[in-house]
Amino acid sequence: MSVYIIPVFILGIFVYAIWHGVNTYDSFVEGARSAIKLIVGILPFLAAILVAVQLFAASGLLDLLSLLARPIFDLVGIPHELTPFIMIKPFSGGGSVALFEQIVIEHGPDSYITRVAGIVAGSSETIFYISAVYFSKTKIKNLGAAIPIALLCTFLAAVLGALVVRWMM
Amino acid sequence: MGMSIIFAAMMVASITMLIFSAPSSVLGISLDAAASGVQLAITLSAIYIFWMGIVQIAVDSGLVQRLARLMRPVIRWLFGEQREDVNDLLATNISANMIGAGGAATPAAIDAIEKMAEPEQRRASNAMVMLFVLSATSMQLLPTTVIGILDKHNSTNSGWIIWPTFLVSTVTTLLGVLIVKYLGRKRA
Repeated sequence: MSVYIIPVFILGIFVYAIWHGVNTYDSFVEGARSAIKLIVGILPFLAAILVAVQLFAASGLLDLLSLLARPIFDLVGIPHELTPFIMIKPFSGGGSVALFEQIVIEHGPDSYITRVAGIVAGSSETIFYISAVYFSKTKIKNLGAAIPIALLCTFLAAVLGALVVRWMM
Repeated sequence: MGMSIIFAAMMVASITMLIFSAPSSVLGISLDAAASGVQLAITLSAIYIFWMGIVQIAVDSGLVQRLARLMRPVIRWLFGEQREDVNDLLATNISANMIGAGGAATPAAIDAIEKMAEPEQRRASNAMVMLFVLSATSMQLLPTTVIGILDKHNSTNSGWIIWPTFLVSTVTTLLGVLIVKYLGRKRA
């Protein structure tokens, strides 16, 4: 089922557009052109955030943070095998996919640990990437409570995920 | 909380630690990271070129505007009264996120925030925080990446994850929305 959604969606757009007499070629090229401008605009922000995140990981501070978070995670019922994965999730999209795959290999694709991790992966985004990129065309630097709220929701996804999987399996 | 503070704090703390543990690695790691930024930008440019092309077709055919009209009550409740063009972008962002087309969602969000911002605005408005939190909690109908990885490793029932993920992401999204609303009311 799920494999059909995107192709059917794209086909639907084309059929609707052709029906309404749109020159799809010109439109596509126009949209693609604005993508180039967008990318040039966000590249410096991407580079900055990746430098900070990779230095942070290499310095051992991310591991230290995981170690400090572990008692809290234990307390709310998040399996401690998931601590590194949950800690890296807000920082790095690629890193969290790699860690998720490692969890699948280590614990099996249908295990409790994998399922909780899968739920966390599916219900939260790479928060620091979003915060770098979303405001890239403005002068806004103060995001108010946005990041803490987003982090809280990721944490909650893990707590709820652990509960729901235990309950459903 | 500001990005400038987070960036500065991460840089100072990390480099301080590395000076004691592996001083010779600092420059190499930084340059590798900058290179992965360039790499990521190239990957993203391909994704954005495709999706922004598709979205432009949907805009020019009037499909996006129709979707935005349908979603207006929800958008108004979440973001307050917004201009027509901002409404269209918000509708694009939310619907693209729901079907897991992040490549169409992110550019729409960037444009929406640019259009909502005043020229000298320094602090994110309630509507921008709302958009940020909605994207971060990513309410998804289908976690395609996760299912893909599970299938790759021979899961016997990869679809099992769909309902619990939907349930959990709905709850966390709702909670995020309510917190933003509550804080917004306090600020106003």
